[in-house]
Amino acid sequence: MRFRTLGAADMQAMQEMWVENYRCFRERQTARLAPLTLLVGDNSTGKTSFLAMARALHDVQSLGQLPDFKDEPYDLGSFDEIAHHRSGVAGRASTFAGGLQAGRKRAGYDTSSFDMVFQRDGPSPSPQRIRLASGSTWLSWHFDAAELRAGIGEKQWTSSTSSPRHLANDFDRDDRRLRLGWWLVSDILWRDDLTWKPARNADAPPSTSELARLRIAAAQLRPITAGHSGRPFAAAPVRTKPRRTYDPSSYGRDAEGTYVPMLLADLSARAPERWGSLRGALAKFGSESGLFDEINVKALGKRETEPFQLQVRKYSGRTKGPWRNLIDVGYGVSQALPILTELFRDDSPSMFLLQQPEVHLHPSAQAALGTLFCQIAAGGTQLLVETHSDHLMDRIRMDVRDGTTKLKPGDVSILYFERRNLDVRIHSIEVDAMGNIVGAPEGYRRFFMEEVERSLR
Amino acid sequence: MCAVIDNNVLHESFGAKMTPAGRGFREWLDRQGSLVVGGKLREELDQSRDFKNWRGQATLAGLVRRVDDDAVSRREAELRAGADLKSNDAHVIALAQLGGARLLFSNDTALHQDFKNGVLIDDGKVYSTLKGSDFRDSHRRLLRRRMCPRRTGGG
Repeated sequence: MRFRTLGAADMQAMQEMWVENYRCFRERQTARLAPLTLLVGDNSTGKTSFLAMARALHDVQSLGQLPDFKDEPYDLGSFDEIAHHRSGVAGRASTFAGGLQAGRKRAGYDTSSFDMVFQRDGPSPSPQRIRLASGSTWLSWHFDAAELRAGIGEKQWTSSTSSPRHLANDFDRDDRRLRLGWWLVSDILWRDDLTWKPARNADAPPSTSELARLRIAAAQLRPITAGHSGRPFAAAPVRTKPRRTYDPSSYGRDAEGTYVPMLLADLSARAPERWGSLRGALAKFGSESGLFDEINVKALGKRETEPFQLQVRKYSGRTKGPWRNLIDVGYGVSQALPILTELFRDDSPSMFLLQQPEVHLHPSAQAALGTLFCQIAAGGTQLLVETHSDHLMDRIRMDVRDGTTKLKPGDVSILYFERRNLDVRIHSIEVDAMGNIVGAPEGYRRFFMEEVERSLR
Repeated sequence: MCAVIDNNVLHESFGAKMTPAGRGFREWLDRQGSLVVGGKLREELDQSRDFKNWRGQATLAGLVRRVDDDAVSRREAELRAGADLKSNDAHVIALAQLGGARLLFSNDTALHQDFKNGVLIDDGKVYSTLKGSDFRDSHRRLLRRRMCPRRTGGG
């Protein structure tokens, strides 16, 4: 068996994700993720919850962070709000889980997977088990038992350690220095005080070669989404309102893009080359979408500490229109600006979780956004986009069909979230080379055709 | 289920003057059928604004299976050169073959013969309003049959 090896050219993207007993998902729901994944379905069918789990799994496995299910833009509440509530005597699930598969399937290489089970710890979810696997080799850490379990093929072993406090079930969730995921499993695997016992289909502790194999696996299982830099950018469904004048302040990323005006002002004042590049990209999209042809930061004083305004203007042929304050143009511009800025900035993360990026945009601008997403995803950035826009979806479908994007049909996945009684199912739908929607369940057809049918009456 | 609709009956399923049988076909399409389009027939059907509008939404909904126009043209040329056709609608047969359609809605009797020719279309069935445009049991039975080969991922 050969393990995955990581390289810059071997981009590690999430290929598949599953959830179980989580929010409105009772049974395990597995979804195919692609460079560009569209999440569609009625309101309240778990699309945002799905994005929240994607970020949670990314946080654990790529950054070693304990996921915060209350972090904006996904405030899912306490354990009771997150674990699936079954009707009748079944009551609320005692655990919920999520997992992902990442990396590119290549001949001779195993795909890596990671999953995590959460349990109640007071009002909050707390990790019960994490598991890493590559092919038939796997490692899992069980917090309650403070036990590492491992397997190679049919053989399984358990091991215990003189458990430090933070590895047991009194895991301190406030200690942000602790790193979970691969870091935790790998750390335990290399401990000198580890005592192995045979479990299933093994009659002795792992041999020297088997232990070496487990350690090699652990080393090569190193964050399976490691190609992704930093935390995914998770946009809120409604972005911050525009203001006529902004006062300079410090800034950091937030879901509503409150920081974006300050970021643009900072770049324009301190990094003219970066600003020029970003400004050009914004203007290009603005022009293609009909939103604006130019964007500018207007300083209201000579010092950086003085207020500034954001302005845009449109052209009519070769004639340049007047600069207009961001607040004086359509709301769509200010709603799209945070997402566009994040997509275009040179230090953008390589994964985006977007909720309704099309809000307040005219249909033609929604369609232009579809083309932009194709371009961005073709460049190696993974996009998970929750959308209610037929125009955006249709443009993506047509760009793939017409070959105007480098994205191949398999690079696009449509996830249809279908409510069935109190539960939700996720259907993975594909787009073929002719732009046909392949594998649409009946509910998906109804979802798009109800209004058309109504016109027949 | 996969079907092909001929231009000569399009008005029975799309537009203000739908017939009962045409409406039945259309409702079947909207709920569970699939329509194969491509080549010259697509150009003909797209002349109808009602159809073209429907096709846009139906494509997004996964109801329409588009077949490459060039592939249809090539197959049509092959059929014209070598097949025993009774109709002059080789482009319809070519489309049905490439798209896997086994149900034809048409009132062209020559095309009916071709579609029922097992050499050209395996188990092809014809939906027609030549004997009346009311929605009959014979129509309903046709729409209950599985007319479209399964493919990966459904469809």
